[in-house]
Amino acid sequence: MSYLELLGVPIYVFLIVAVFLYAIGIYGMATKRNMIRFLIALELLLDGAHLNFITFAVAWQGFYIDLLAQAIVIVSICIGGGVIAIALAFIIRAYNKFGTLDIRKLNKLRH
Amino acid sequence: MAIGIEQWILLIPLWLPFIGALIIGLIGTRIKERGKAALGGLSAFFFFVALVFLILLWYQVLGGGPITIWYWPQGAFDATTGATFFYIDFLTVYMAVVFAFLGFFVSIYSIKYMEHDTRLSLFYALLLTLVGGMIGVVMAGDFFTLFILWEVMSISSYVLVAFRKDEAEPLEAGIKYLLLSAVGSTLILFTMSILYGITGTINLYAIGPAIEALFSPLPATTSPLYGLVLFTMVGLIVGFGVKAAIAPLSTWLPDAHPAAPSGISAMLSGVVIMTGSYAILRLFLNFYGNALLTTTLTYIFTYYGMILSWFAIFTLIFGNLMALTQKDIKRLLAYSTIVNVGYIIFGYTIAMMPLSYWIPATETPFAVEYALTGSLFHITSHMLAKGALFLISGIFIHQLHTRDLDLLRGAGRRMPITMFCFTIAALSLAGVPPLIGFYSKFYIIWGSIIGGAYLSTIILVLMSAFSVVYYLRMIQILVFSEPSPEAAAAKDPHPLMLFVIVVMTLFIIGIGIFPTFFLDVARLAAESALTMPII
Repeated sequence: MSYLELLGVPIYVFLIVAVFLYAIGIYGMATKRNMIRFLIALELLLDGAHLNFITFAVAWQGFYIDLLAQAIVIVSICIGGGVIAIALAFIIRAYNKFGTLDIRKLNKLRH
Repeated sequence: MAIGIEQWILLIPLWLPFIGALIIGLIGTRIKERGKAALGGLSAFFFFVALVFLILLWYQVLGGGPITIWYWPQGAFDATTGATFFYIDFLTVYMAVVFAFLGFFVSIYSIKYMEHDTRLSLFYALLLTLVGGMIGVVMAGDFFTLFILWEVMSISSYVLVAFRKDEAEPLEAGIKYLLLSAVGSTLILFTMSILYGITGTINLYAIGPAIEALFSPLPATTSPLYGLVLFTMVGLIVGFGVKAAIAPLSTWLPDAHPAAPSGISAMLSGVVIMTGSYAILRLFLNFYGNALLTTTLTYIFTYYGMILSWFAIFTLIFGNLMALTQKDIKRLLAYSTIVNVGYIIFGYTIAMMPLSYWIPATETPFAVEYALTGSLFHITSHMLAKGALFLISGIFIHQLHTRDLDLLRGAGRRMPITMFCFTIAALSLAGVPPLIGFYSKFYIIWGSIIGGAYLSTIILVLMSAFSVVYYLRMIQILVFSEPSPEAAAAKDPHPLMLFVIVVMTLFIIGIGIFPTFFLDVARLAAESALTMPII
């Protein structure tokens, strides 16, 4: 069984890398306490999904690339930038207020 | 149809809020302190116009059937590769009316409630983009549109939760909400990339037939893609479930809803989480509904509705138990929101179960229709009642500067009109007969009993009775206790705030007494949710 190739690399390699990126992101989200690291993990989660989309865009069309999937990825990168920007704004405020970047120290709301 | 003048007119409810946000943002920087009330009025005006055009759109759909509006001229792309379009049917318009309705009242309410805040132009602009995003989510026909507008909605709600950025609590709630919700969004994106990989399209109405075609020649379990399709189910439930606040994923909700300004609490609790549940309903029926009907599919594939229904029951029990012990009035209402999400999701799942396995096939359509009608009607009833309750708790905060039920003891005696509205709204949520909340719950329970889901229905009814405890407890504390020293200063608020809650209460009573028309509207919405168009 032959696989489609992208830049001379079989396509499933890209999919495995995408899942790997997503898994690393989830790991980071689950274990880290620093909010900046949370955001890095969030970016990795997004990148996993983006790589998946790009790979499948090639796989489906064969000779050319499905532009709609590419458009989704580009727009999603922009949106991701917006979300990260807002998160950074929140985190700067939280740092000024609480004096820490540790998310577990933000516990005014525990009842 | 490609986009022309006529289509731009049909899409007014979608783009008008964004234009409104732009206008308010532009003039907001120049306006003086005294003109701040005008911004709220302007925002309410935009919502009102959107509402009027939505009702016109409703008649348009009633007369001519569902409307499909493509981004491109016909023939430029086919329905799989260039699938970017809006799809407008009864369900879309129904949800959009609910969103714009609450947006209208929250704008009016916020004129007085937010009078001591600064940056009001940002507040109203974000309120408009929030509702615009939600209307876009329900109008979207493909994943591209849905995702963009979903994120517009999400980003607006993150900022609105942390709007009072100088206080610690909204900031903390905002961070938690943002992180959880953003992970949910990435999971939606990842899941949709896999669905795109399996089916080759992002058209929400073409993915279902593609999945069906994939599995029809062979027993599903032998297909190598079986596991992937199961993964997409889990991914969609978890991804949208974060926003819809299904129980294990709802940890952000009791933090975020109380921390936001009260108008925003009402928006978040009444309508924003309903976009999550809308997405679950639409996507699950469209993607897996067809596959469910073909009998070649077996096992977990057919039972995802049952699994989801037990999640809904778990949501109910969790929300009820947590609500019982709360001392903070808004936190209590937030947990009660989780309970109501349980009812709504449970009604949806009746439509997703293979009911004909255990009840006569002639009964199945009735069960599905009643349960879905009940669920969709419960969205309206919950929006009215919970919206009113959050706005009234905002009045308590505005007057007495506290959310603690102990300090609010007896406050209701000093503010009779407010307390009357509070009582009606709470009783409606508890499901007392002449009010709107009774009919929605009744239809959900009726549908699930016809559908033969006896055990879960019994738990649902018990939990519904159980929830009366904390609604009555709130009323008891607010009215039948001796007023605390803090509460003695309470009085009915500014007429503008009173107007909003009184009108919402009149809707609760009025629809409760004359439910037929609104039930028919909900039934039409339920039917259009069940028809799977071929695009």
